Amino acid sequence: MDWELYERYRSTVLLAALLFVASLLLAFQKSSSVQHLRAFLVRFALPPQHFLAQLKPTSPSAETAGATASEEDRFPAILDVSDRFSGEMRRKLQVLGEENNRLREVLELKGSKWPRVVVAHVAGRDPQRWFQEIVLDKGKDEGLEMDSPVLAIVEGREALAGRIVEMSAHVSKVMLLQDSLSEVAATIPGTNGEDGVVEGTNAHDLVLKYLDRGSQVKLGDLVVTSGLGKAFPPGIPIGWVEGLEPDPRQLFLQAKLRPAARSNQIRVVLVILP
Amino acid sequence: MKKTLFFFFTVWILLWGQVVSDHFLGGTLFAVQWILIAVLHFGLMRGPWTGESMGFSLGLLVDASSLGLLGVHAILFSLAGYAAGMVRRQLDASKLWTQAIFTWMVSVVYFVLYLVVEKFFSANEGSFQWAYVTVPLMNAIFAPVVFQALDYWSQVWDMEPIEL
Repeated sequence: MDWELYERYRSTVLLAALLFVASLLLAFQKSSSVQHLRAFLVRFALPPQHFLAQLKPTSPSAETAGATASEEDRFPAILDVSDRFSGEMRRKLQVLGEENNRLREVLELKGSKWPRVVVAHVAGRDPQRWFQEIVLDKGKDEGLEMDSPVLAIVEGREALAGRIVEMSAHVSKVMLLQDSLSEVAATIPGTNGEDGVVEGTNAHDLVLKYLDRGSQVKLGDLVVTSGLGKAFPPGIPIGWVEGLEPDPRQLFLQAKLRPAARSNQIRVVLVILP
Repeated sequence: MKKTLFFFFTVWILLWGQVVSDHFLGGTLFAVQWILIAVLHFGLMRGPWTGESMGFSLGLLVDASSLGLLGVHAILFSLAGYAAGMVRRQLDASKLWTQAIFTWMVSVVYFVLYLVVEKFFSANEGSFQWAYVTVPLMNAIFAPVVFQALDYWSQVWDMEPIEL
């Protein structure tokens, strides 16, 4: 009789058990057991993301295309032989070339300005938290620390991307500037050192708050980290002013910013170590 | 053994499909939740036991791949699989409209619950995004395709739906 009852309700019993387990996982996110389980699952789930992180969906640059054309002129016979694979090989070369350029930019910056940094690749991101976080392929074992600033490289210059908020042995999570919980002390060079706080909006743009109502800020001004609070080194570009308006209480001005590091373009980052 | 392999490869392919899709469409208004649609298929075709088991496994992997809260998607996908399994006798899941409308309804409920769970367990309260309106529509549009593909995939393995 009891067995019949179980047969009848076994799906509901299983659901209750699964929900109970999932609730325990949620409640004990920080415990070592859950962290171990997460590390195990990450090994299973990250390979496709690692693979895709190497791809770039954009079209090749004119410079690369030009170089390929000249190679064709010089080695027509070789290219004839490998005709079947040339398209695939060319694409691989383009991807590697772009990767090489990005890493060269990173290395130059690393050597000249930030001697104590770790270079990491973006290994994944959650579509529902697209503007809030990215996952890096480096973690505690590579020397990363909590709250370390993360810089993106944009056209050979660094730009603030966010900071580390979670880590496991070989993976870490970055809270992007666009996250509404993110706050960064900022200043605008050349305006008598006007300070403010840059906050995220959970969308593409950022907001610079608490500017004086008589502020000299104008459209196109560059906003950089001020170094106050010591969370981020001073002088790192955050974004450019795109619009100005009074805040809802009419006490301050607030500026809408176009971020220097667009969250969609981040592939390789520098994590600054203390 | 064959059954285990079938489910293992199905989970693996769905995970790859979702990651590839998110790579190109994630964060846009045109993202599609292939995994959620697949969980609904398993619930509707094979009953609540399979639906919730697949939902839980795939949900955990989705959580791990994003380093979000571990367990959020496991809860939501389990509930979706169970719900699909429980209403399977009231619905004719072979009809395209049924697949699309049911997927749309579950997707809307999924987003509402997602915001609720985030509010309780995450420091970062979820906020409304237009994707919460468009993604359920995208799911509904692609649901018949996924249902058809999974039916074909089951036939290839000679694993036509048998309720567990």
